[in-house]
Amino acid sequence: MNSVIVFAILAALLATGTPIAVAMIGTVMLALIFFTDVPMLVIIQQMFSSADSFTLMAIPFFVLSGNIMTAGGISQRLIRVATALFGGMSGGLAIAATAACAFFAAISGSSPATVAAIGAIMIPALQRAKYDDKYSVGVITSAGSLGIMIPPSIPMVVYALATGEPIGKLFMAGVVPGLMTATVFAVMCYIAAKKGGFGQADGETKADFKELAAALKEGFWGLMMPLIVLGGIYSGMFTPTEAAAVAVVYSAIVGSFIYRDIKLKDYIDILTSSASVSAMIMFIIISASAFSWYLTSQGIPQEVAEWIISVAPQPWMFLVAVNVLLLIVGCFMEPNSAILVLAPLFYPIVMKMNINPIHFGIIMIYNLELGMLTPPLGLNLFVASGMTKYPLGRVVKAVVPFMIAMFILLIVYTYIPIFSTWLPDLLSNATP
Amino acid sequence: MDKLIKPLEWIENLIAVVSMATVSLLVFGNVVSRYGFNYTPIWSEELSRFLVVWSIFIGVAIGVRKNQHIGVDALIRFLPHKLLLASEVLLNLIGVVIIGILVYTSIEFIQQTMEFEQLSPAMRIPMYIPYIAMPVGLSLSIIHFINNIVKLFTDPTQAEAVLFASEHVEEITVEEELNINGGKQK
Repeated sequence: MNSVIVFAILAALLATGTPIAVAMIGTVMLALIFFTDVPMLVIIQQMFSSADSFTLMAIPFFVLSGNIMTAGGISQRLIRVATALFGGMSGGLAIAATAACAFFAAISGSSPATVAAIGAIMIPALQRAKYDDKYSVGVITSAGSLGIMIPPSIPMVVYALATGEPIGKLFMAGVVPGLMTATVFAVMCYIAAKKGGFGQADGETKADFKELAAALKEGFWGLMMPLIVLGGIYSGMFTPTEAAAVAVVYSAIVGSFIYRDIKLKDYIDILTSSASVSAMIMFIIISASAFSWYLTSQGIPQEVAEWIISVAPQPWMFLVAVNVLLLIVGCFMEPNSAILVLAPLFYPIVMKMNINPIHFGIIMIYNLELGMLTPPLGLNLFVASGMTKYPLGRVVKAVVPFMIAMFILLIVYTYIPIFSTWLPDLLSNATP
Repeated sequence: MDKLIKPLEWIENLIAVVSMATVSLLVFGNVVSRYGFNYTPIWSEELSRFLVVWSIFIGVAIGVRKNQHIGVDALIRFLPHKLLLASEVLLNLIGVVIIGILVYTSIEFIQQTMEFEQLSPAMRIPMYIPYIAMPVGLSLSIIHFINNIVKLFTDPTQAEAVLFASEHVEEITVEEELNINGGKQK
């Protein structure tokens, strides 16, 4: 009963529009006062100990390296590579936009950042080439999702933190589902362009070998970054946090000395905005861990686990229940806090039912990613709406076909674990 | 109010920039020294964690100043303008109260640890140095929450920014009506 009241308080506070982090802290405060004798000091201890974590430090680093790369003109260069590769096909520009999102996702760990970086250049280009809403705004808003599926990924760091699973394995597990999603989007653009008659006579985007070579030469340093980060983590050269710091220094060197687009004084802006964006994410994370501590201290995860096992005794039923729950939660909660609150609830059941926890992490993240495309708290939508000055409803309409595709893919990934487990298993067999 | 906010803004940005930059170089330097010189300084991990703690709590204040913290505004968006502004005041007040309690508790917490003269494991510095980031950053946040309320009444651009969200909703309904009408005519 108490747990119902706790979630009701949280919902009420959230409804006022209070920042999520503040609402979660307030809920824990009220819960401690009403239901326990525990002093409030414990909130401070929980918040500090979760902020004081070497693993979590990967998040500000990935935010910072992504911002440096963006300021260093990496998005234009990645778009040039993508256009050289796919521009000549039917619907080529939309396919190139999808590919550029996938490339950028391998540098950035955030979906809204991917939408912003690629969308700022590609949406106007697609509109000029007379692509309709769905295949300009829609495709980029949806393909921004790849930001958290293709490593590095901030929610994967958070899932690893909440469950103790290795970050490296989670990163690898996201690669195949991410690339498959990109392929499906690309095929959709191709078919729509063939049928709808747009995006064909793009003489100027016709790819030739020379342009491709030039684009690859320009984009080389950006495309190398994921290799360094993931290769470094996988070979055991460095920890994920160190890999993220290496990415920061690497992107600064590329931006300042190779591309020479960033001047020394630009770093002040880049650093302040990265500090406030990562603090925004971290504030939610440390508040969510105080919230999650409260739930655990009251034995709520066990209660929920027993209840779920009693209504959904089979793994497949459990996964259906999880998908439904996460799709609803994803509409109202931001992915990182949802993972921190829910992963500890599900984890014991996942272990009991012998579900691969890495596979389960991918299911959670894919579900919550769909939530970023649905109102009321769809961050990708807000970014796209802010960028195009379109009302939210118009962006939502444009996203619908891709959301349906992602929903079908979600079911595929949920029930066929091999898509997420194949690559990490392959690599862990290959390296000692 | 502006006279107070400007210098705070400058200090916050300074701390954020310096701690972010230092931490990145520190962790990178750690990798270099491990492979280059086969040496890992024991203090470096701890120092970087403490710097990140500082950058988080100062960053929270910057986030409040820029009105950046994510909240669910789906419901309040549909309120009429006057109520929307009132709810904006309310949510900033909720912030003041909740964060205020947190500041009070964190000071209490620090006083306790000071009594025990707790030292950090690696650098042997007093633990209140990282802890104090909490009351400092959160108190700055309270100032910005209050300033957000003041600006709603004194700075027209602030009120406009809040109302922008609800204007967006109206546009949708108008546009959807147009679509429906268009559909009927066909």
